[in-house]
Amino acid sequence: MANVYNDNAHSAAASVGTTGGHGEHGQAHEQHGSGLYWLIGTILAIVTAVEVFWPLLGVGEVGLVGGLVALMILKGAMVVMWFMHLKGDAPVFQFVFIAPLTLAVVFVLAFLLLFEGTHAGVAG
Amino acid sequence: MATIERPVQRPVSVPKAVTEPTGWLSWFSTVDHKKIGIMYLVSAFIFFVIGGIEALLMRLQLATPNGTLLSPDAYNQLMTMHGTTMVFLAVMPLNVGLGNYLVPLMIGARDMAFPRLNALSIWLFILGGLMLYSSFALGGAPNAGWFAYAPLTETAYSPTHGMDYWILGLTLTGVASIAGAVNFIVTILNMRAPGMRLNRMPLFVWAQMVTSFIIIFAFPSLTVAQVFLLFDRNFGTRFFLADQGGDPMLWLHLFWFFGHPEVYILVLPVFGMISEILPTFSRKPIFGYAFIAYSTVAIGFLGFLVWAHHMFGTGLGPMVNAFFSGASMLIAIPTGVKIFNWIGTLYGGSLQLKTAMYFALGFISMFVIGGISGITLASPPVDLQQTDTYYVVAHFHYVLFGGAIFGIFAGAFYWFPKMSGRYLNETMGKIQFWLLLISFNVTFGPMHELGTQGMPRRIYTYQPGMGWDFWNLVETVASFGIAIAVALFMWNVVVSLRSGQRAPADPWDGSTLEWATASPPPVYNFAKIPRVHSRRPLWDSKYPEMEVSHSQGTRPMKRKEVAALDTGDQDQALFDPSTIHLPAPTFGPLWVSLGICVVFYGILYLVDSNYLSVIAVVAGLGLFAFGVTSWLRSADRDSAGAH
Amino acid sequence: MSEVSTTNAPAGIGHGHDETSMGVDSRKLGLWAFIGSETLFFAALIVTYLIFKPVNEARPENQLPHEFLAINFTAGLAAILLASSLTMVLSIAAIRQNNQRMFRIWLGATIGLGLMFLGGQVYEFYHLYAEGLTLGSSLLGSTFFVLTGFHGTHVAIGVVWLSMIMWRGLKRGYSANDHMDVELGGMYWHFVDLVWVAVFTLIYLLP
Repeated sequence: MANVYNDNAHSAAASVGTTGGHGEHGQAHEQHGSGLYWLIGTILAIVTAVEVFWPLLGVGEVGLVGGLVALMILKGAMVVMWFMHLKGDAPVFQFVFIAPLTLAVVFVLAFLLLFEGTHAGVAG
Repeated sequence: MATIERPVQRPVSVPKAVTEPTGWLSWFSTVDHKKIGIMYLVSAFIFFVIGGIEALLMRLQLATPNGTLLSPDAYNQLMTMHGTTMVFLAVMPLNVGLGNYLVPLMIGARDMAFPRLNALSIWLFILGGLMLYSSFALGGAPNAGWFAYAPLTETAYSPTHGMDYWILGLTLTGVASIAGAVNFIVTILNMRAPGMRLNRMPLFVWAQMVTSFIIIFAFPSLTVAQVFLLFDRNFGTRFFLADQGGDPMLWLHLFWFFGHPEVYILVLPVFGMISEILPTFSRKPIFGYAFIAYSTVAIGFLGFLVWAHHMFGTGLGPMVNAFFSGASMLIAIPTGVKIFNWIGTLYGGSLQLKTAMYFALGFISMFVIGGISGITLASPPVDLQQTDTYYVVAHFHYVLFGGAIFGIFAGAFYWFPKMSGRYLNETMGKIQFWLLLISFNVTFGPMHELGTQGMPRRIYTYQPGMGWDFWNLVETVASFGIAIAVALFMWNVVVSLRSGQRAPADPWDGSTLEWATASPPPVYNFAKIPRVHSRRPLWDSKYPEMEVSHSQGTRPMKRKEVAALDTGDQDQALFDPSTIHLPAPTFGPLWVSLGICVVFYGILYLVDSNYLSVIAVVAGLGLFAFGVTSWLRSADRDSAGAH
Repeated sequence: MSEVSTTNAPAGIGHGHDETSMGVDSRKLGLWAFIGSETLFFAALIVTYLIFKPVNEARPENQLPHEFLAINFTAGLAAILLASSLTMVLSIAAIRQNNQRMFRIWLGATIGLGLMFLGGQVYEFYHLYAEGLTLGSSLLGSTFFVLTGFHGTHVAIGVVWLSMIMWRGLKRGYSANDHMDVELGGMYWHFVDLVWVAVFTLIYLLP
């Protein structure tokens, strides 16, 4: 977490330092053909179908949760990278999204950890 | 160590202004960052005074044991509103106001990135504050503390609509804060003058940028907690109701995940102000620019990892306590770095003891006291002894009053000439400083002692014979000294606005870009956007012979360019400011914020009067939609005019 | 315009992003920052659901997710929202090539799919209430409805936003050089979809 946050901060600062006022990044308007979008859309549909049938495969508790979370991350990454065009876009966009996303993941994990022990107390 | 002798002031030529809307109505439609900044400062200062009056009433109640001035309920309302006001309606918007006024000037921009969004922020802030205060007239103010610990906030214990006003009023100001923070982030990252790299930005701008990131990362947690509470109170959910499976601890965690970063939201911009004021009045560059900038980032980052130190008293277990205690103590490192950088800036400087400098020095010493008591509280065993006592009250008043408010007064004296074209009276300012410093310390210093003796905070009265009588009386008397000092400041502002000494463009011989334009600045800020070659563009252009472009203590690098500030004086004579395109005033943001406010009033009474509330919600949405169309029309006209 | 005011992008105008210090469009940067903030908003809602899930199971008045939440129906909703992301991105691709007709068709399809999703959610809520799962009936009801309700509100805002883009597209027209409005609406829409990707897995699918 610490590294991701700081590295991003530094790279944002460094990239500005070198461009110094007039951006050379441009925007990542790589003109993806519609074909790529259809491909991504198809993969997302297939992954969603796999997700629905995943619990029926009998992969055990860890495999079930791990697999579903992995598939979720795969889908989310595809939406962010290609549909929202974050892949190859200006580093500053990546920073202002990935920094809070990282914080959000840490936040969720920390809260799950903090509340893990309290369930018995609260519930029973 | 090199200091700078001040040369004869060179007048900065400024062409005459483009036509600017005037009259009182113009304040309601303005999108000018300077006017909005002043609106923030004035409204926040009014809230500061109101919050101060609430504090005085509480002090009068506590002056003697078994005080009868206030009922317990009235005391709870005043305590809640004092905290909420000072945090959300005073210190935060005072910082935002100074930032609004100064950031575009400091980075050489003509306005904020989104001027209309900026107008939305100020109106949401003002309406949110008014909504919060309307609760006094509409059935009772919030009464469960600014921290609003569940389950005290649930309807069983807080049956009036007060807490609903707290939730919805603060949501309005929260939306304003997030919109404002996004605006600052984009402005600072994207609107800098040519050559103004991130590592050349004034440290106040750095502080505002980090603060803005903290705001957009921290506020959602508060908003979610408030949404849960609103639903608990009005729509039958059970998030914080322990008897139904809910968990009051969830409120604590969500609130303090916001609440601790909030402390840095309050104080980081003030660090930035101090980092601007000290070099100017020490006549030498800031010591360790990069350390101050990056320690600001470090504080912002660590600020998210320490929230549970507000909750040691809840019994989180040794592992959790150890982690949060360690992380809290870590924050002392970047904060200490700043303190030593400031001292390093003063060291060997040619100090000019203007009032702004008095307050800046007062800030450093008071903040160090608050910081040290903070370190003691970061230790769980000590905290368990002191938590919920006046020791904690003393700690955060040293940080937020002795720290933030002293720093903001320093900023006020420093930038008032820029905003008004007149100096604040120095003599009155110095009297105010000494009065404030002494009465502040006499008010809050003894609270350390009372807290150590076990006097609990958040109580409306106490019994005689506890050994608390003497210091409580002293504190109450001294608190009126604070009031007189603040009144003196108000008097100073009024007198100085009418007949203060006229200030030139660059009254303190500053180093940053806001001093390169007239006082007060024209609506377009700079006739020509300056080109920046160093961290101290103005000093470099005023003292080309001095090697000031790098901090003392690091090996000075040879500068290539000599003229740092290309304001192009010759060009300016030929320059016609009417060619500068600025966004037109619009009432759109005002309608939008009024619409949201009406919707919120509707939601607030949805349970009591369904019919009227639905009408209010629908009417509010209509007003919102009308505002959006008027906003878009104005935006379209502007983008058409820009081409 | 004189070169003076083009040194620095005119305040509040999203055009000409090559004039800004980071070389990026201001509005897009602002929206990314806002989306970052929204990420934390939904993270807090989702983690609350997850924290209360085992508590709900241990309560005497518990209501278990798998007894109430129909995965097949929600999988349909998820497919609708994913499809709407695809049509949205196709709409942007079309306007980038100045293809007005396909731009409107795909944008209209996105709005239609968004409305379908909202309709599906209203249907789902209605049935859950009929079956006895309400805001006040259990921790499942409290956490589920507040989370999915806020997501649904975001979808509704997205539908209004895209409809405004459609309307402005018909009125003033967008082009290959002037389609930032569409791109921003699309970004927000994809984010709403992204939240649903997480909600679908963490709330509906996880046992």
